[in-house]
Amino acid sequence: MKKEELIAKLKTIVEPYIQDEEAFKNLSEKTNFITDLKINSANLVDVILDVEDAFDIRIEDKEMERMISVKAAMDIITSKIKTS
Amino acid sequence: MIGNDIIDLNVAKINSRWQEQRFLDKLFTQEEQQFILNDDCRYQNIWRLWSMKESAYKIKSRNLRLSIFNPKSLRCEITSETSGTVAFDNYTVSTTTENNSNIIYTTAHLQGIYQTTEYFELKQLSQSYQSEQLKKKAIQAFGQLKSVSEKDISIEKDDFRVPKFFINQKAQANFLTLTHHGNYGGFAISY
Repeated sequence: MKKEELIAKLKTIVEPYIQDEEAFKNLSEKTNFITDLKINSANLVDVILDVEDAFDIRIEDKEMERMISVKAAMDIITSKIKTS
Repeated sequence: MIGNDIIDLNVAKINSRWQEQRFLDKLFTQEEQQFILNDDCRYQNIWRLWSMKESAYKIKSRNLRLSIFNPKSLRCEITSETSGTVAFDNYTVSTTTENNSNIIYTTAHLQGIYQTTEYFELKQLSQSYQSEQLKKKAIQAFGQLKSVSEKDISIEKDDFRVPKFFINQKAQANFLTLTHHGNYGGFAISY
């Protein structure tokens, strides 16, 4: 999957949970889910479940720990899609 | 050291997949899941434990600077209707939880004297309004504790995004923690 496609797909996943419209409009690889998009930490788990379903992958606890930015999410998703 | 967390129960429902087993598996240990499923208050129980973890995580990440986010490494124990503990690494913090039909509010503290904790309704949803209101309320309370005029007190965040009190630009040793969610917010102060 192309990088742009991946970002676009992630964007639709996080949209329901964001609390900062401006940061969402300017979403890039560097965007942090908590500090930039102001996603409530409880909703991070909802984001992770939605990512699992959208890409048909399973994310381990160790990976969840670091999945707090667009970049980290992309890395994890890409590695899972390739190896599956 | 102190941490707090408020959950607006009307907002927590929106979009959340809390009813699913996979949601529980990602956040809670087996023992915690037993507590959650123990009675017919699954929704309340989930958010009670979550607010305990989150308030303890604030102490872990901000005061102790251990920033790994792993909800299951923060292990909750319920000791009474309102009190509990959260253990992580070599620490155990004490928690106090208040709740009603709209909110769940937990304050966690580790060492030191626990001075004041308060929650309230926030009329508007904008981030800037809420953070202004929270600061205003915390400054009022701190002014009363210290017998200092409110206009001499300010709150600034340090490099680790931890809020601190200043009196006439001089940093104070007290710990301060702020939280907001949906239409509610709260603050807690300790030595």
